[in-house]
Order: sequence, then structure tokens, then C-alpha cells
Amino acid sequence: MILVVNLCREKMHELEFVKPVCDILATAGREFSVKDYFHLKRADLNAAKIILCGTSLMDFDYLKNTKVFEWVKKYRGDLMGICGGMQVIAHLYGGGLYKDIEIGKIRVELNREFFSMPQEFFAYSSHTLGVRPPRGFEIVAESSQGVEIIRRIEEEGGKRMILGVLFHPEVLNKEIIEGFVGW
Amino acid sequence: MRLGVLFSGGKDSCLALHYAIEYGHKIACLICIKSENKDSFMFHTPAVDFVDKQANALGIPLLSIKSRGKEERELDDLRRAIKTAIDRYKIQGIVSGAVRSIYQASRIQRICNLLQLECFNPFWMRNEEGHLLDLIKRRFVCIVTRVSAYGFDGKWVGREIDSGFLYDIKKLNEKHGVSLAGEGGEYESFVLDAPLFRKRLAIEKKMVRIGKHYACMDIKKVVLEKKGREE
Repeated sequence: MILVVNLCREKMHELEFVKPVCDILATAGREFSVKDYFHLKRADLNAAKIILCGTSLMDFDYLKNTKVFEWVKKYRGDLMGICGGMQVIAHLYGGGLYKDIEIGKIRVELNREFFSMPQEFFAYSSHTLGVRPPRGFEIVAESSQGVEIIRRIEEEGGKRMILGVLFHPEVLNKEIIEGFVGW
Repeated sequence: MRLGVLFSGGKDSCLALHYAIEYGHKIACLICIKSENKDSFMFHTPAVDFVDKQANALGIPLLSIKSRGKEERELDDLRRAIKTAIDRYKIQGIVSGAVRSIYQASRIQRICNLLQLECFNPFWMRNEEGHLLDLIKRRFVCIVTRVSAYGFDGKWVGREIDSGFLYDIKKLNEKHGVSLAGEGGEYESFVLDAPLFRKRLAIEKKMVRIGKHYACMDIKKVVLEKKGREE
């Protein structure tokens, strides 16, 4: 079971930022459930993998409530953060956030092998905060504006991946989400 | 929230308005850009002159601005319109009916960010067949006002978007890659009736121009009619 975590303050934004991720999972034949980030229970963390979705440009409530995400460090499964989700991960692990507006189609270049993605590809970005990667995370991909994908593989206590994707892969790069759930 | 709907008179913006209300938002105004550029990438153009009739049917104020339709200049016009909506109607956000157009969505997002407005795109990345089924199930009455893609002919203009339309456009999609929702500009629509319309629209005068894989309905006169008791 994959847990899809909704970070949206406004209910109608779930249609824009959560549903497209769920649709990709459904098409891939993956079982999933959706929970709001402030309504997670201990049992939800039994999920095999967790995806933290993004939210709107004007919504920063999730960053005001990062204590609610402390479970991220204890969770032993694979975790992916999209946009706002990546910002949460970066913040929790000691990385930095800085003002950086990136809206629209961007060109992303890989520094590392990353699922089956080509060396260069287009992606859709919609954020106003860039990420300075925390220690222990490798920079997998960048755009002309900055870091776009970070990754950390933990071996201790069972192999797990923590992935941060600053753009919205559910728009132009669903193979990234498929790659994550298939890893 | 108090929201302004980017409203073209077509199926997507009209359905987006319905969603916003269902989600508990107040629609303070409709915002319509009347582009003189018939090939505008940003603004859906046919039948836009009759959006005022739809606004009347909805009982929602309409803010309408003309645009010369010169590419990125259109965005200045849109920004101006949205700024006016903020000043006049105190909107806190914008709703759009964008489904898959990154061109449209990103430009609207940039303007909203600049003006510090929330931006809602409830149909973003939605399955297009599901989108049309939603419209049909909600008993929207939308007609096709323009077609412009390989595979279309004059018979498509004036057709209602119903299950028969869906069946036929799926065949065009399989054969020629036509977007079911018309996201590539393959077709445009105009809403004559919808659940929130207090009156329905009727086209009294029109002219149809037909070319090769192109047809367009020039609507000349629209009237408002009472809706039947069963509605």
C-alpha cells in the first residue's frame, strides 16, 4: 500500500496536486490511500512507500507545521517528496530553503542515473522556494535555476530511498513516480 | 474564498465555476478577455461576445476586457483584468478550467503569484474522457462552436457535447490524436445551459463557415429563455 500525503491547505487544490499522483498510481495498478498531513496516525506509517505531494504557490502552511512531519526520520520505507514535499524533507534534514521563483516548463539535466530518465528532459515547475540540499543527500538533477532532484539511500536497518523532486513529475514525467513505486 | 473565474463561455471554465461553488467558495465575478486574435493560444475566442448572456443567466457580475491578442501582450491584458477584479470585487483567488495546457496554466500561475492571489485549476491533468463524462452527467448543454484539426468537418459545428459526441471524438482521438477535451485547440465550445444557470441561452441567429478540416459558428444573436419546470 502506498500512502499519498496531502499537503494542501485548500480542499479544491487536492484535485490539482494530489489526484494526478493518485491517477498515476491507479494506472500503474498500485493500491494507495490518501491522508492529510495533519491527520496521520501511527498505523498509516505501515505503508510500503509514502509520497508527500505538492501544493499551491500561495500555500506555506505545511512549512509552519514541520513538527507534524517528524515521523519522516523514523519511517523505514521509501519516501518521495514532490515540490512542497521536497521542501519539507530538506528542512527536516537540515537543508536550506531560499526564495526562488520557477513557474512553467523547465529543462532538467541529470548528474546521476535516475530510474529510466534520459540525461536531459523537460519538466513542469511551480514553486517559489528553492532547496539547498541537506548533508547526506546527493544532487541527482539540476535546472538552470538550481537543484531539482535530491536523493539519499540509507542502508542501515534495511535499504530505503528518500527522494525529493522540486518540479511536478505528475505533469510531464510520470515515469519518475512509476520508477519510485517500482524501486 | 472570494474568487474570480477566468471565463470564456466554454465548457471547462463553466464547469470550473460549478466546482468552485461546490467546494464552498464564493464567485465574486467572471473575468473574460475578448481577444481580437482568432488564433489566440491563451484565450478561447469563438462566441466570447455572448459571455454577458451567460453571466446574466448565472447572476454573476462580468468583468470583460478587450485584448488585441498579441502573444505575450495578452498577458498584460489578463493581468490588468485580474487587478481590476481585485480592486472592484475584492477577489482572493482565480479559478481556471485548464486541463493540460502548460502554456495557459503557467502564465496564469505567474500572474496570480505576482498579484499574490490563490490559483485553482481543479481539472489539472484530469482524464479527458472522465472530464467529458462529468459534463454530460451534470447535464450541461454545450455546443461545439469551432473545429480546427484533421479529421473534423462542418458537421461537428453545432453538435451538442453528449454521449454521441464522446463516442465520435474518441474515434477521432484514436485515428488522428485529437484531444477529447479539445486541449490542443482542436475544438471550442459554448455553454447554453448548466445547473447553475437560472435561464437557458438560445441561439437565434448564426452563420457557419466551413473550410477544409475547419468550421466555425459565428453566433449573431442569443436570447435568454426561462428554464422548464422540471429543472
